[in-house]
Amino acid sequence: MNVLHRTSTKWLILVVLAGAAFALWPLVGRSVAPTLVNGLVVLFFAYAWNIVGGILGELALSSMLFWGIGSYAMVLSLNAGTGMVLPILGAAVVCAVLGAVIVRAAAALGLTGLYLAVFTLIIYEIAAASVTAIELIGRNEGIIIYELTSVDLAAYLLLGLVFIAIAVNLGILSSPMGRRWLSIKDDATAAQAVGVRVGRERMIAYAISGGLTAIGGGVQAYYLGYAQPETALGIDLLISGILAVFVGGAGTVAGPFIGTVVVFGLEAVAINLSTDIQTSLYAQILQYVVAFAIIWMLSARKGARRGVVGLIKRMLRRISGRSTDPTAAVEEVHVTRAEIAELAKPPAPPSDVPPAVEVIGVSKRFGGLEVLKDVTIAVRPGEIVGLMGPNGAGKTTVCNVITGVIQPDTGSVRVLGDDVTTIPTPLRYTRGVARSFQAARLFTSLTALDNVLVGGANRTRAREVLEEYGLAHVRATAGAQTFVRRLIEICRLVAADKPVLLLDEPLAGLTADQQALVLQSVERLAASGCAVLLIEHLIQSIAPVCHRLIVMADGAVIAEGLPAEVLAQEQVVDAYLGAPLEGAS
Amino acid sequence: MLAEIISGLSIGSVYVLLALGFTLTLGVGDMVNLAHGATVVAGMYVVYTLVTALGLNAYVGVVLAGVVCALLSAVVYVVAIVPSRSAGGGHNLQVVYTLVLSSLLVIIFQLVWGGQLVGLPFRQTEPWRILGVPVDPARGIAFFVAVALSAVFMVWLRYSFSGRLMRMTGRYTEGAYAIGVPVQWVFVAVFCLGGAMAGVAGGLLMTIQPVSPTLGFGFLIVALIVSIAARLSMFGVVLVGFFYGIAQAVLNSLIDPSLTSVVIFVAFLAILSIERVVSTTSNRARRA
Repeated sequence: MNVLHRTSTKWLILVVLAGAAFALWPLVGRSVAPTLVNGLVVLFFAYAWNIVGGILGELALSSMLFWGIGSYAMVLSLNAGTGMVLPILGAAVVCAVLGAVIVRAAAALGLTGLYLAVFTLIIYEIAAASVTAIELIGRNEGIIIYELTSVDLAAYLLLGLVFIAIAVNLGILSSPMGRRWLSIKDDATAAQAVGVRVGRERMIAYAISGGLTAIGGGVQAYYLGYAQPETALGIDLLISGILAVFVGGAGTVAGPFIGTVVVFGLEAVAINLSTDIQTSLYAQILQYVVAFAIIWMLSARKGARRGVVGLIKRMLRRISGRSTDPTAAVEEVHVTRAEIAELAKPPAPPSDVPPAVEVIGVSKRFGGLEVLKDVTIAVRPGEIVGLMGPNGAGKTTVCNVITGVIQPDTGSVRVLGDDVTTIPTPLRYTRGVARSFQAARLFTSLTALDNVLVGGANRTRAREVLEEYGLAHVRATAGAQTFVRRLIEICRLVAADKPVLLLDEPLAGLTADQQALVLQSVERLAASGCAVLLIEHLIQSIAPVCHRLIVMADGAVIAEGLPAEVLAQEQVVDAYLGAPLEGAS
Repeated sequence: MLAEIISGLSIGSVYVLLALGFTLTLGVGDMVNLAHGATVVAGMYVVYTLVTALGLNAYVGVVLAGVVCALLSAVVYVVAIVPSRSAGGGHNLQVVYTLVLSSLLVIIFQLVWGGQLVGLPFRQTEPWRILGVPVDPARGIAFFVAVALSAVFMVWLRYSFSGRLMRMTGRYTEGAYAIGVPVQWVFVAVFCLGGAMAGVAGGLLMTIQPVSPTLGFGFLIVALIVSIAARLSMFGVVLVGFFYGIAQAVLNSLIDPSLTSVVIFVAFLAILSIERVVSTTSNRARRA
């Protein structure tokens, strides 16, 4: 089980499979070969599509455009006598760029989810409609390759391509890139806050997927000896590919393979038994119905996106008796509570130390609502500053201004002395601003370890921190309880080792014991030199650990100073409880 | 030109009806039905079969097409929408499921009716004369029926108790649930009504053009473009739907028909981006 999880094992399996496939291919009979090649086409397409549709989790339906470009480029190039390599490389480059351009355009238009799917579908339709108007590529009839092509060479090429596509998927998923893409799929906003440059990552994913798809189209055209709208731009391949990805398990390495076998296997058997057109239609119906039934059964529970692969993993875990219950972590955390007794607050840094993070004279309006009025806040390294205030005071908005989620109308934000007011969120993270969210936002497609790693820590450090917090054995994060989620998020902050930490209500929903543990780790972070801005409205809980308190009400700072002093001030009490009525006593 | 505009009006009225159905499902029910185009084609085949096999009047067939397509949509709802909702996959799963169902329907059409273009038997009729232009009565009737149904639908959705109930259930699902509205059944009703409108639109189309199994994809694109360009507003759908029909008819007479859709799609994307640019720049201007 553990061995299977190791990346080196996966590569080994892939190499062995590839070797076996190439060795066994000559044994494939002439009658079966065409069906198998069709299967390889679907398989390749599924792997190319899995990069965007599975790992990144976006329903891009423009893939057939790239397939078509590859197909027609191959035929045109062979007929012009410029060989096979040129169209493959050329189309791959063109489609990589095109893919990046398409996703960039979609991002510029602010399209996500369904609207992204429709946008890409219409781009595909534009391609499909214009093909029939272009004389050069033979309109509806398509164009044929004049010279004789080698079916065997094409089959080997396709076989090789399939393994290249699997290798690309495996490479992505076992690298930090795959982790970042999965985090975008789960929660793009939270991904940005841990330094993932969403726009760039998406463009890379679409480019890789687009380039690969074009190569597949080219080789298919070479195999067929022609390119025509039905094969080069038909929607059937797209649907089979998507279905294979979803049945097998979106965003997994084995998923598209399992999915293709299930989806295409039945059709292949039926086609081989009979050449009748009627039979092949019935076979297609059977294929869709079976695929549908599988997705249907798997989707009875949440997280069905992992398809058959997810099901197998769950079964393996059940057989091996490994607990998947993340609540198991809590008991072990309680053991470490002995340390909490000695809450050793680090001394406040001297006042001449320059602040690590500064908000200077920031104002922000949303329409007629002034949510921040000339707010100035500074936190020095090693200092814990509590930011308090009633609901709607603007605490979280301050946090969003510091991380760059919201652009202030006036004023500036400085981190370690540099003005970062116009710098986007992911780059602020790399410059040292890390945050936690009000409701812990974990990436549920990632394991606990990957959730820590995505913040930029190295593997040893991440393991160390998880161990320290008693979470070393937690794998799955989907469905973890609040405390575990919060702790994993704190582990990410600790491991990432950023100089500025913004904690947005880290105590919400926790018991007193759990709160104490969280606060203790906050103190340890400050002792190691972090500037901590702690946003809370649980005054009693945080006052003892804070060096300073800042109180906000209606978007303005109304009090600031040592905790005891601030809490005694009349306007602070008023802000929380409401001012006493005139004449009442 | 006048002839093209009139023919565009009649096809546009059918587009309005089918796009209203799609907008109802997406805008009110927040459900994506990419099998909407295939449902239109199902409506066409229902009329075709009833007329050619049973000798029924085509307009009786149109009514039955609505009924059959409502039932078909109920099946789509159970097979595609219910599981995607319970899996918490949102729109993405619905897109995949209904896209697959759409292909499945195409294959079934091929099995039952063959892959060829088929049409209703030709009938010699005296053309209507509108502004001196001869108009096929079937087109005229299709126009009036589609416009009347669209108007009734919009008034009903806006003012009737059941129409308001649908809109409120779509917008405040949990609130509706809390006050005892049978939420699940309302969504089924929304989905089936959307399907019925597609079926009626298909039935009307059958009286003016032949059908083949793969036409559905084009109708789906029409529904998507019209309802998204109209930002899911019912009045917007009426305007954009007619505009789409007229633009298509006029362009077809001016340029290579296979380029018509390219021009319309590109125009749609251009409108989307211009709209986006205008809204972001005006936001920026307001901030400055």
